Amino acid sequence: MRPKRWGALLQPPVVLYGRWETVLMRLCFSVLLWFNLPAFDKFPEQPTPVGLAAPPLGIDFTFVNDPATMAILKTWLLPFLVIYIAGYLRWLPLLYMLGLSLAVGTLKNSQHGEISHRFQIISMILMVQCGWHLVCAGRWLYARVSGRRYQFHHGWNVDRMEVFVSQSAIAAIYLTTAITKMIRSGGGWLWQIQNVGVDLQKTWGQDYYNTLSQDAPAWAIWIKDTVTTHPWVAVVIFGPGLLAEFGAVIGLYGRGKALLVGIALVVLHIGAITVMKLEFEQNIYCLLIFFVNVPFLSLAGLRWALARSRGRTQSLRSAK
Amino acid sequence: MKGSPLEGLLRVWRAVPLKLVLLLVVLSLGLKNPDGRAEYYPFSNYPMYSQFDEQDYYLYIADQDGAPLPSKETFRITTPKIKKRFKSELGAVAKRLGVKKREVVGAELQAVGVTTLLTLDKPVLNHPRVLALTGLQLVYVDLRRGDGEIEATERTIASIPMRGGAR
Repeated sequence: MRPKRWGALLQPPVVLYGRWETVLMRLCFSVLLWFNLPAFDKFPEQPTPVGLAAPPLGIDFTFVNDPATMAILKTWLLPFLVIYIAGYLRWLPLLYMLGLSLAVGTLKNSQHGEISHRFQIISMILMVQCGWHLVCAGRWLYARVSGRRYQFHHGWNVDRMEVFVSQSAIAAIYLTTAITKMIRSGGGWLWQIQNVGVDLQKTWGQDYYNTLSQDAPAWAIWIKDTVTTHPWVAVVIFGPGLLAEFGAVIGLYGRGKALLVGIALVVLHIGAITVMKLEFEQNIYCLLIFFVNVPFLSLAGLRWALARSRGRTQSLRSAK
Repeated sequence: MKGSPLEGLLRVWRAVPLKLVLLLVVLSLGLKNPDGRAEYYPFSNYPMYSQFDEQDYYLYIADQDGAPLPSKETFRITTPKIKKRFKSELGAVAKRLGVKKREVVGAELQAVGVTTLLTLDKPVLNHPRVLALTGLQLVYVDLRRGDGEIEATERTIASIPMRGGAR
């Protein structure tokens, strides 16, 4: 047998996602978008515009600052979500969902240098999904006009690729995070992490002055105190986090690897929320949907429970 | 075309795995705003916890007597966001003066602090202490890594007058 070339070996395999599995993924993602679209009224201007709000485009997104307008836009979102979940003409609802998320996210990040990365992952996933479905729509149109067959290669289809591009967006975020750590620290992140005690002191101080109270589990307090008194412990505790970020791309190579990477990154986030007060719940939910694949696990659990109850009924009948 | 350099390049490109991931990483690191920050929503280089110095600082808001105010409850803003506003203004001043952020001191630093305090919303907390506010102070907490401990020193860098909870 001829050995595979290195290029072919590095290509990710096609994961056979079921129809209901992808429907459930879209349902979960839609719920996440619905409950995370913020409604605010405190950003009437864009004092430090970013992205599409910055020159040369300079788009004014302050219209989403009006709660009444936002309520209307959110009402329109509902039918689009239903179409998206059902899987019809997905480029159309995705354009609306992406537009809305970009408007809200850009306006929120255009406030006096106050950058929040919480909603970013949702917009990134919407962007790549929208891009993918626009490509599909273009290919379908081209096939209609040219009379050629519209087909995918190597076992991919619209749904499988939709999941894959979503996972790619998530992996890209973690890989970017890891590369930025390397660039900004001049490659010495693991050495510099010994100063993390200063950052933790700052984060906990900031947290205290938010409400003038503080509540933290004993293990988080232990970590904060230990890395302050014994800085080398920080390398052992925080080093694996960097590896998990770099290794996020491994999750694109099959269900099992996605599950392991997803669990590792969720654990990393839970630690970051508790010890570093870095709240990224949206990232956790996206990881649970697209990497840990809770929709698949739920369906598998349901099937197992149904099969078990059928087995019991049959054995009861045969016993009678 | 067969055997041409272009065909070779195309073959290499086809063999490159995870092209979308690479493209997104390049855009996230490369897309920048006019102020030079890689924060081109929804792209970002995610700079948090990417550098660790032996020295850092945070800020909090205090009343006219220097007693801390809970910023989240009083002004609907968290202390990290106050620092982000402060840093953004500090960066602009440093750029204008042609110095590093750490070199902005004295009256310039005070002006940055005042600008930061002026960006705060009107207090939303309906509490007698907030209603009786006659001034706001911005307190700078300097942190340095010492021998097995973190040394913290506080100083007020700016203050603004208030009347009945309003500026």
